[in-house]
Amino acid sequence: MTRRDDSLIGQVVAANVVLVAITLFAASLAAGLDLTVSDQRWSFLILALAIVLTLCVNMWMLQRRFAPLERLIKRIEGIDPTEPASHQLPDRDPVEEIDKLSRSFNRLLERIEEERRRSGTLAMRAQEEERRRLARDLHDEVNQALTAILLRLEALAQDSPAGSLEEVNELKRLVNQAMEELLNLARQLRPTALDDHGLMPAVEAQLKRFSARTGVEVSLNAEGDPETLPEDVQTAIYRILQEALANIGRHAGATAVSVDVEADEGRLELRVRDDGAGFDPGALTRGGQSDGPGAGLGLSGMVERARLAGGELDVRSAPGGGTTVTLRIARLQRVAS
Amino acid sequence: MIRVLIADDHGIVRSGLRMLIERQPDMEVVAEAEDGVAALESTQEHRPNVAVLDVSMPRMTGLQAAREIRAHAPDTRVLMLSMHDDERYFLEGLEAGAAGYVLKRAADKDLIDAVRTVADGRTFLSDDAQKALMDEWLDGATEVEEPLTPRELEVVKLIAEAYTNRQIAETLKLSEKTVESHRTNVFGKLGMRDRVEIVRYAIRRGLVEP
Repeated sequence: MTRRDDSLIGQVVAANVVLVAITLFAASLAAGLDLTVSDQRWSFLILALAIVLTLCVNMWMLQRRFAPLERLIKRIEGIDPTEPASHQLPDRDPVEEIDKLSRSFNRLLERIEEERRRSGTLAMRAQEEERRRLARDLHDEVNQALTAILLRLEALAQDSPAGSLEEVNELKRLVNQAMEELLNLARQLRPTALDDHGLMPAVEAQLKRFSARTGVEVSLNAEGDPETLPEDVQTAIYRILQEALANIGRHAGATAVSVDVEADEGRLELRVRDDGAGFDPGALTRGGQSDGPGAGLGLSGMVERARLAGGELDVRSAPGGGTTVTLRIARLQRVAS
Repeated sequence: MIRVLIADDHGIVRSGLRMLIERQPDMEVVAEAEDGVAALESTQEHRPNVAVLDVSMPRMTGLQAAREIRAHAPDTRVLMLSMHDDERYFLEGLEAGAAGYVLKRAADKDLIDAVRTVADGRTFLSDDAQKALMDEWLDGATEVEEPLTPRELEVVKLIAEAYTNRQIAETLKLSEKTVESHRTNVFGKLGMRDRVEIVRYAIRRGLVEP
């Protein structure tokens, strides 16, 4: 059985066929028509034609009536789950049932989107919390133990015979290196400065380290008071900046980066601009989200973060023309807790 | 003889510090403390020449303890010991009245030097800290506005650590009434209504660890 046979329109047509056939059969019986009588065969032919005509008109009318439903289905199928703006179906439809269906579908989409954002926010928060805990553990447990080892090694070095002194110094160097690596790791996970001093000092420190590591010149311009933003938004800003800088460090070959943070009454804009190699943004979309040439840029992660913070991410770039990443939150919403 | 107090909430770090310091012919460890309050009390009791304080400790942070020590035992010189190399941490240390700042990962090279230098009445900063300070000075230092007094911040930390008014009063050697009025001031100045908000504030200010 094909899908078409199962469709609503097919079923209605089939029911109508049966009804019309039965009616005609009953009518011919009542009129005493007899197929064996040769001059009544014309009447049968006319009856048969009537059946076919009725069915055709029936099909045509039904298809017209069902057309809005088909349109609705096409629209629903055209919805891109990653793009909330495409969710809206037309509000008004002349047919009441279709109108109702389309409106309840809109509501369903809204609820799904809301739930998606809520669980996405919770997941993001849980992830930050976990990173924070890991970073603290690295700091507080592992690095303290290494500190103790370092101090003891120094004590040992002070009365080591010259022969083993070199060995002890080498050990100290290794411990030192491990501490530095752990510190970097902890910082990448979640910089303590973000919790201890707030967003802007953490951003400044991040930019300074980036500049020292890559030799890229960095300028920062901040307006308004980003410190009063909800914590999730601050985290989003920090992480998006982190990702953008990582991209610049890896791909751009830039010589200068400028970062602007503007936070006014209820709206926020973060702009990260570089003068590097740039890329073709069209290639990103053409290549698909997960395995295109832009997959390594972590863009989808940045976009998701921006969305969960209630904003949007805009990436502008052209080969040879640098890249500008903008996070824009037009209306800062209170975060659902 | 340089008499040294060591305060760190990690026992292994304290024992490492003790081992290294006691090995010096001109130094002795007179007391150990595992938090800021104990460090302050021990300092008042033992009057060491140098107090080596870890920056983050429970009950009272190293920075808060440094401030109190400067106020109540001005003869003791404070040396901050920290894992953090962000300049904001150095600045806070110096602002709190520390005479020196040593990074834990440079403790093998710097610690003994630093203890001698601050005991001698001079200031010690590890290389990284000096460089960061220069940068900050060149940038034109940005002052952070702090609406609370140091004493109020001490109260905030203890509120965040779930101490009752009476326990806070005992810890800080204040009357319960004074603590109550500090508490009212804190909530008023910050425009906060409950302890949860205070905890968040304390985490943000680096007074307690999340």
